[in-house]
Amino acid sequence: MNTQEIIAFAVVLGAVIYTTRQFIRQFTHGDGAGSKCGKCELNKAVIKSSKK
Amino acid sequence: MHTKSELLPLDNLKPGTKGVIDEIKKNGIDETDLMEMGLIAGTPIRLVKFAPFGDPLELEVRGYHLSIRRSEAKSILVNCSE
Amino acid sequence: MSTQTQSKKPSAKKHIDIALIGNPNAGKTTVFNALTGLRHRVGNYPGVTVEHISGMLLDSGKQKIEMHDLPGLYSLVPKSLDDKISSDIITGRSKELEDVRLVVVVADATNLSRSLFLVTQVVELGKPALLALNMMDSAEKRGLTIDVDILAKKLGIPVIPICACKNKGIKKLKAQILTQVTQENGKFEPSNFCFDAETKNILQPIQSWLQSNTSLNNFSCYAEALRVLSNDLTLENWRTNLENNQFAELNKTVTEVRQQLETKDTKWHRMESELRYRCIDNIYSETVTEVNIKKDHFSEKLDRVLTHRVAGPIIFVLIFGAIFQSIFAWAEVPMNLIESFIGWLGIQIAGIMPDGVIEDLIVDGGIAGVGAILIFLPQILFLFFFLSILEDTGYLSRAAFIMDRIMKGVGLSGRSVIPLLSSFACAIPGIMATRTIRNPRDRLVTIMIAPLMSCSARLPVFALMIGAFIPNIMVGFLTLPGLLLLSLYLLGILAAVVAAYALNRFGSKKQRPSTFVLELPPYRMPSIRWTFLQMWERAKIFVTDAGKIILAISIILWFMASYPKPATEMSSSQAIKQSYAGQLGHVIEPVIKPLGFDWKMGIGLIASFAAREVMVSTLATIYNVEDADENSHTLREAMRNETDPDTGKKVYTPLVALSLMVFFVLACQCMSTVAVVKRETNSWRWPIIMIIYMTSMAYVGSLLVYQGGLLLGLS
Repeated sequence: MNTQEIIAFAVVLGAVIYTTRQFIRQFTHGDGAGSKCGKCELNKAVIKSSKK
Repeated sequence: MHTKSELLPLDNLKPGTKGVIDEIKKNGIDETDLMEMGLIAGTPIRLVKFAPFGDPLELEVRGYHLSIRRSEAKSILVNCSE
Repeated sequence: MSTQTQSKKPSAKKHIDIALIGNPNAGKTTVFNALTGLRHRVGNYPGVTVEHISGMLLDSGKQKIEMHDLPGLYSLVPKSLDDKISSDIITGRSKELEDVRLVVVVADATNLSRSLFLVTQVVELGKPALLALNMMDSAEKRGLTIDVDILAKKLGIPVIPICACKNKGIKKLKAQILTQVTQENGKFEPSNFCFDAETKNILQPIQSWLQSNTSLNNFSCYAEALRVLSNDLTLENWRTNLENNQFAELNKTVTEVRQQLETKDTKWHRMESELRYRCIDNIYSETVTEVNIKKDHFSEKLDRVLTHRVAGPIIFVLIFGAIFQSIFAWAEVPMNLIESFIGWLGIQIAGIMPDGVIEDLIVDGGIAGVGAILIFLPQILFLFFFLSILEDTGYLSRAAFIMDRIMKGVGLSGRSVIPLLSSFACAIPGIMATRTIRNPRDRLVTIMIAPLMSCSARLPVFALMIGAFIPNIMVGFLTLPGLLLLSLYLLGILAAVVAAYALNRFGSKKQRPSTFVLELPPYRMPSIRWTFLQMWERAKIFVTDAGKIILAISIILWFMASYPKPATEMSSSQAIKQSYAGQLGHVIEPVIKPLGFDWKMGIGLIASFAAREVMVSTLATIYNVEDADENSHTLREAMRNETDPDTGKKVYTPLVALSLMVFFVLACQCMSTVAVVKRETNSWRWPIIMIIYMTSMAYVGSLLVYQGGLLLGLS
C-alpha cells in the first residue's frame, strides 16, 4: 500500500464515520440531553406534549 | 301571519344570502370551534358559495371569509331578512 | 431552573425569552423576520429537522433577548398539538419555557374583530403583553380607521401599528419591546375588562380554587376559570399539571358550577365565546370607524373563477400541470450550464493532479457523485418557487376548500390538504404541519400518507430518467416529459388515497367526525423578495447537504466500486463486477430482476434508502469508476449506452425507466422521514408499518409496470 492509498482509505473511513453519525443523530435528535438540540427548549415541549 | 323574516339552517340558504345568526344548536358538533371564530348569536353573516363538489361552504362573517362543512352549517340557524 | 436565578449572577448574561403569537395568517412570520433579521423558515431537506424558530432580538454585552415564534392559533383553548404548544407556553404551563417575559401578539388590522378574541385572552393572563397591529395600510384602504390610542387604553396594553411586509413600524415595535422587557415587571396593571360582576360571581368558586391551589397569578384566575368552565379541553389540560386528587377536586368544583348554571338554563359551554365577543363588539365599535367600506372585491371576483363549480377543479389541475411542465422547460438551460461546468471541473482537476488513487477518489467519487446531484438544483428551485408563490397568494387554502369533499371520501378533511401539498416540497415539513390537524386519527393517517406525495428529492431521479429515455414530443398542449411527470405525481396521490382509505378502514376505531373550520384569507401579491429569499435558503441547504452527506456516500461508493483491485489484468466492466459493490449488487439482483433492474440500479436502490437523490450520485459514481477511458460522458449518455455484456441488449429501455420511476414514487426511501415519523408518533410502530407498506407497494407497482409492459410487447 502506498501513501496515496493510505490517505484515500482514511478519507473513506471518515466518510463512513460521518454517515453513521448522521444516521444515529437523525433518530436521537432532540431526544437526548446531550444531543445537539438538547438545549432547544421548544423541541422538548413538543416531544413532551406528543407523549401525552 | 305574515312574517318578513325566516329562520333557516345555514346550509339551506342560497349563495349570496345575508342573515343574522339566531342560534347555534348542539348537534353533536363542537360548537365552540365555530363560536371562537366569531359565529355568535346576533352576528351578521353571508353565505358566499358552496365548494365545487357541494361541500364545504364559504361564508363571510366579521369581515373575513371562513369555510365550514354542511354538517356544521346545519346546526347554525340564520334569520334571513329577505 | 429559572432564568431569574441566573440573572442574579453578575458574570452570566441575562437571558430573556419573549414569545410571538397570533392567528394563522396574521403575518407573524414576516414580523418575526423583520424583527430578528433572521430569514428563517421551517425548511428541510435531508439533514437536520428544524421545528421551532427562535431568533435573537438583541444580543448585547449585558443581555440576550430571544424571541420564539410560536405556532399560530385562534384561541388559547388547545384543540390541536400546535395550539397546545403555543397555549402551554403562553399560560406558563410549559416546563421547558416557563418564564416568558413578554408576549407579543400580532393581529391583522383588516380582521380586528376576530383577532381580538385571542388578544383579549392573552391580556387577561396578566402577563406583560404588547399588540402589534399588522397590515394597517390594507385596513385603511378598505375604509377602516382604527384609533390605536383608544384601543390601547381599552385593552390596557401598548398597541403599535405596523406594516410588516413594507417594514413600516418595525423600529418602533422593537423599541417598545425593549422598553417593556427592561422595565422589571413594569407597572403593568390590567383590569379584567371582560368580566362583569355577575360573571365574576358565577366563576368565584372555580377562581378561588385555582388561586389557592395553583401558581396562577391572581389576575389570570378569572380568565382561566372561565375557560375551564366553558371548555372540557382546557379542563382536561389541567389533568397533566395536577395531582390526581387535586384534579378530582377541580373537576368537582367545575361540575357543581355547571350544574348550577344548567338549572338556570344557562349554556355554560358558550359562556367564554359569548362573553368575549360581547366585550369585543364594544371595543370594536369604540375604536374602529368604518367609512365607505370597500369590500375585498378582488378576492371574491378571483374566487368566482378559482373556486367555481366547474372551472375551479380544472384550474387546480392545470396549475399543477403547468408547474411540472415549466420545471422541465425552464430548468434546461441552467442545468446544461451546471453540467458542463462540472464536466470541465473534473477534467481540470484530473489534469492538475498526479495520476493515482487520490485523483480517482476526487474525480470519480466526489465530483461525479456530488456533481450529478447539483445538476438538478435548478429544477428543485423552480418547484420551490411555484410552491412558495401558491402559498403566499393564499391559493393553498382554496385548494383545501376545493378538495375537502374528496378528502372526506377517504375519511380525511381539507385540513390535511395543506400538509400534503407541502409534502410535494419535502415530507418532513409536511409531517410537522400535521400538528394543526385537530383529530388525532386524521393526523396519524395524514402522517402515514404524506411521504407518498412526490417530494423534491425524487425530482432528480425522475428528471434523469425522463431526460434520458423519454422522447420530447408534444401530447396535446403538454410535452410527453411534462405529462409523464404530472402522471407520476398523480400516481403518488392516488396511492395516498388508497392508503388513507385502507388505514381508515382497517386501522383504527371509529371516532367522532372531525370538524372542519378553515379561514380563506384574501389573495395577496406574493412578495418577490421573500420568494427569492426562500429559494436562496433552499439552495443553501441543498448545496451544503450535497456537500456533506451525498459526498460522504459517494466516497463510500467509490471505494466499494473500486476495491478490491483486480488481481489480474481485466476489462474495467469485469473489474467493477468483482468489486464489493459488484458482489453486493449481484446478491440482490435476483430480487430486482423481475422489475427490470440490473445490479447497478440495485446498488443505487440500496444507497437511496438513505435519501432518494443518492440514486443519481450512485449511478454517476459507478459509471465513472467503470468508464476507464476518462472521456467525460454525461450520466445520461452513459446510461443510454449501457449494454448487458451477456446478451448485448440495452440495459435501460423506456420501460425500465418507467418501472424505476414508479418504484421511486411509492417506496419509503428517506431516513429523515422515518426519523420524523418516529418522533411525531412517538413510537417505532408507525414508521415500521410505513416502511413495510410503502416498499411493498413500490415492489408490486414496479413489477406490474415491467411485467405488464413486457406482456404488451414493450421492451
